[in-house]
Amino acid sequence: MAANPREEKTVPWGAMTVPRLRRVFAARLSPYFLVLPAVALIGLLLAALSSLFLESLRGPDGPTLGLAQYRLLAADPTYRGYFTTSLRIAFLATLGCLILGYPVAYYMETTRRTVRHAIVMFLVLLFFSDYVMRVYALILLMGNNGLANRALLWLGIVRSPVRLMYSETGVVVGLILGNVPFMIFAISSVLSRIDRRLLQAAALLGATRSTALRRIVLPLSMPGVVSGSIIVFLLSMNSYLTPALLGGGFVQMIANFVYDQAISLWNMPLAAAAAAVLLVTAFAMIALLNAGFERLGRRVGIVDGRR
Amino acid sequence: MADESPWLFRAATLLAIAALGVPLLLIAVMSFNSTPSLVFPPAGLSLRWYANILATDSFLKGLAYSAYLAVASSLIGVAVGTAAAFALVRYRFWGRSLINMLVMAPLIIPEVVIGMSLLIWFSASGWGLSDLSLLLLHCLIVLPYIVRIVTASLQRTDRNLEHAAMLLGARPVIAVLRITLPLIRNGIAAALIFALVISFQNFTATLFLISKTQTLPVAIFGYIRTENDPTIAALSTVLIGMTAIIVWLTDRILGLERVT
Repeated sequence: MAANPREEKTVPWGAMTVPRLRRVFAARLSPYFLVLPAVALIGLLLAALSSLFLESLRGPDGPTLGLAQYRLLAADPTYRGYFTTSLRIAFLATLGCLILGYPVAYYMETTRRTVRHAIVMFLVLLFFSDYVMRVYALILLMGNNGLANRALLWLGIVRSPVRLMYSETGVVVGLILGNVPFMIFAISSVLSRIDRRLLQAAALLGATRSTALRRIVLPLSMPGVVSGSIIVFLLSMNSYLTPALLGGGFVQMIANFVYDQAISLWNMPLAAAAAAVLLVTAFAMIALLNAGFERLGRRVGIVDGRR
Repeated sequence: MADESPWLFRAATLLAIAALGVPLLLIAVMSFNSTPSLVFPPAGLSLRWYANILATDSFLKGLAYSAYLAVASSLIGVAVGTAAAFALVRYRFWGRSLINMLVMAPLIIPEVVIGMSLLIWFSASGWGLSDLSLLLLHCLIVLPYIVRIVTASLQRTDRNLEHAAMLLGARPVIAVLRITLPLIRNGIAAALIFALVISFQNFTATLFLISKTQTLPVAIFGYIRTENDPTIAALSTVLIGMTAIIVWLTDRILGLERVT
């Protein structure tokens, strides 16, 4: 690369010597050479995505292309149910992560450095741990003979084991515990950048701590809340593993449907169509969450209208 | 920020940490159970489930295969991703923001969709499912993490150091190799660790492209579905221990606060 490509451009073309020309071209082309392998990898993904859309257009019989698979998905109430169930579960999981994660993020940013460091270490340990294993841990916790039920029985709160697993509630709890580290990291990284003097100013002007929290910290942390919610919502909506293990066949989400159709039944066109709808829904949800939070924020005056 | 959290927040934090930590402790306790049942508390103590890990073929093969995939895809990913990050940070070129967005795409596209698309593409194109298709998938999945971490690291380095080297007569390539790369060494190391972890534990997209050999997470999933004994608890305890060592080492060498 050249030290300063702009300098090279000011040399008139007539005065170009061959080595200088070569250097200008090298400077212009080298970024393309550098990104080429990455672009090739992404190209594979894009090619694969287009073959997914193509596959989804294949009819149930014959090679004619059409929207038959999408019509089937829209018409069948069972198929529609997979999508509404997934959206409902993802919404509840996101809400749960927000309620559980925000206090942790806030606590992390207000406590001593050593405590904060310990929490970060713990969250990274969770993040680095195998996800299958973490869901398995929840089976041990929430199963009929699991720790939670034993504790409830021992405390005399219930007389017979409660069914925590194999239900939507179990899947939602699993997704909350599985994804809450993402929410905590997203919010805490924004909270750590808030200028502490703003709170001193609020206190000087007579705001109580809860008022300052509500009127200053919460609005300023909105970007973290939004990005955390988007991550958690997407991960929850697309989850395969949690419903497969904690739902025990009683809770079917889109990902499970796609897998069953593709691998067990080898009905590739229908699986492809469901995956395509999932992809579009994911993108739509990102846009919707972004816009929704902004709108809500502006109404209660916590997002700057100019943004 | 205020100096203290409201008591409600402190209580919620305690609850959250407990809810996240208790399952991991529970795994460790159950792994020493002497009976095959998963009833709490354990009936007696034994190490038989740890022995059973070594006796289960799919775990050993899965571990070897997952390790191979993680190492290969992380090394390829770091080479490809670092080059891309360098171009994206240091050059302004036509198509830059588009490429910037595309490189992050595997992060936003649902894993099921990635797995499903590649399955269709590999079958339709005649390549078929092989070790190569899984390797390419894992390279794709780790790429965004690598580009993001290396980009952040590059943005923190001082470009003038490179200029100084070139003024002193170093050719641009030499300046980058001898000055810039050593400066972003920690970023590259962090990217490598992240890539290894992400690849090692990838489950959903991998599930679609499994052909002959299972990866470790897929083998564990299969075992949980068919068997009902604490072998997985024993294996998980080993994995948590290994993960804890990785986290501790990462913290000591790189500093987690800067990496995350």
